[in-house]
Amino acid sequence: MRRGTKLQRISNSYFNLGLERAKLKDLSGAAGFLKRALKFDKYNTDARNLLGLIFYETGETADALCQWIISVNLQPEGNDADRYLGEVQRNERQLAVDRAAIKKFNQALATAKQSGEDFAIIQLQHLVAERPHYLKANLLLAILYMQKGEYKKAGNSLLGVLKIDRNNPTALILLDEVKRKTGRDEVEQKKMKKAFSHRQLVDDEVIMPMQRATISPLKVTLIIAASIAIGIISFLVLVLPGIKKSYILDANKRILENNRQVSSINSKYTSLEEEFNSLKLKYDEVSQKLEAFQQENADFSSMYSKLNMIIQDFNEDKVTNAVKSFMTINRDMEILQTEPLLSLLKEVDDLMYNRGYDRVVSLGTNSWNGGNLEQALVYYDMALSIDPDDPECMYLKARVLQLQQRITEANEIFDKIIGEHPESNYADKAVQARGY
Amino acid sequence: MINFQEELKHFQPSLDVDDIEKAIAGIDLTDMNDIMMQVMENSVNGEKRN
Repeated sequence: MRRGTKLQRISNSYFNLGLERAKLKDLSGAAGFLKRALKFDKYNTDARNLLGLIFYETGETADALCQWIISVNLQPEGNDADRYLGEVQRNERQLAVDRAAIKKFNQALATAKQSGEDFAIIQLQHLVAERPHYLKANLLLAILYMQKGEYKKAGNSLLGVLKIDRNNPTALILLDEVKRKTGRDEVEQKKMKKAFSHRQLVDDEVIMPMQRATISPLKVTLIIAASIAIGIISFLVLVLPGIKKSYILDANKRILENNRQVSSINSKYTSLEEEFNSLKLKYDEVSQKLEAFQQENADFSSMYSKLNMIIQDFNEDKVTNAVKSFMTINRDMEILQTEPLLSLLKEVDDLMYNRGYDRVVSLGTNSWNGGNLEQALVYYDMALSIDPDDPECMYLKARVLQLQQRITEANEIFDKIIGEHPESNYADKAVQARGY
Repeated sequence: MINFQEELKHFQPSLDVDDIEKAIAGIDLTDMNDIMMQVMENSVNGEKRN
């Protein structure tokens, strides 16, 4: 994404300077400006591609490939770097030569640093013969020559570098040293004096060509630096507050909106809470009714089953079981007042009263006769559960109690017969049995 | 006067073609745009904290 046109313009200015330098064969100067152009805008494809070309021209093939690969990644479409890469990769032989040259240079440099100057010189001589544009190799060779005192050879190497890169700083510095060492500097100074004197020129004098009027790099740099500073200050003073204000306004709007939403949510929550409480009350009410209903159902089922079982046991002559169950009927239950249990209970009562009573009294008497007074009491109690007011059964029970020497209990029953059934035969019998 | 050893120190090995991948991975592509964006973000974040 290209952003910040001011920075693009600055980048382009540097690119233009770099391009101008490259056209003048000042490759070092051009590379410097192009690198600065990329510092302001890394997407400046032209600057990056030209930098790659400069690297390639000066023998730094790998550096060139790096720049072109980055260029293609930043701008995949319509990019000359694609073509450069294609051409380099197509020419495999040349690429192999370049690769080998780099390895040889690195090896020679290592050798030179380990005081193997002679061997390094031999390696570099072969190298520059194959790759005369490999500036670093030429420069290293020149300095090795200088170390050896072979200034003429060094001068030749350096002039070779300056042919390719006119203002190569290392080459210029080393060449000055070479000229000083060889006395060439004095010769040139004399020629300069003659060139600017009023004498007539002679054949061996060289007229220095007029320099093109150019603005010095330092001035350009200062102008650009001032422009940048003004641009940044303007941005900070004029544009950034606006952006910040706009951001703050947006932020405030968002806060207000959020507050409104929170209030709305709170209100909804309160309403939902009230609705929940109301529903909960209804739920509790319904739950209680359901529970009552279920309990009723359980009671109904239980009673219905019991009454039917009593009838079934009686029909199967399991009179004792039937009566025992009959004795456990809770007549206070409200469901017994409703159909169908009401009718069923009446049927059971009729059955017990008309047939069950006599059967258990008979069983009681049989037990008595058999000497089993306890069992007789059980049967008589069963009979009394069916008909509690029968004087005969009461009398029989009291007599059994008397026989068991439970006189008090017996007399209570005798008193009840006498008091409640005076016209009955058993009243007299009770008096007699009681003894008073 | 040129000091040979000092000048020799200035020479660095050339980038090998086989090391291009590593070199690209290590290149810092930060430009002025990125720096300005960072300055703006820091400025806005500073306002938010205040």
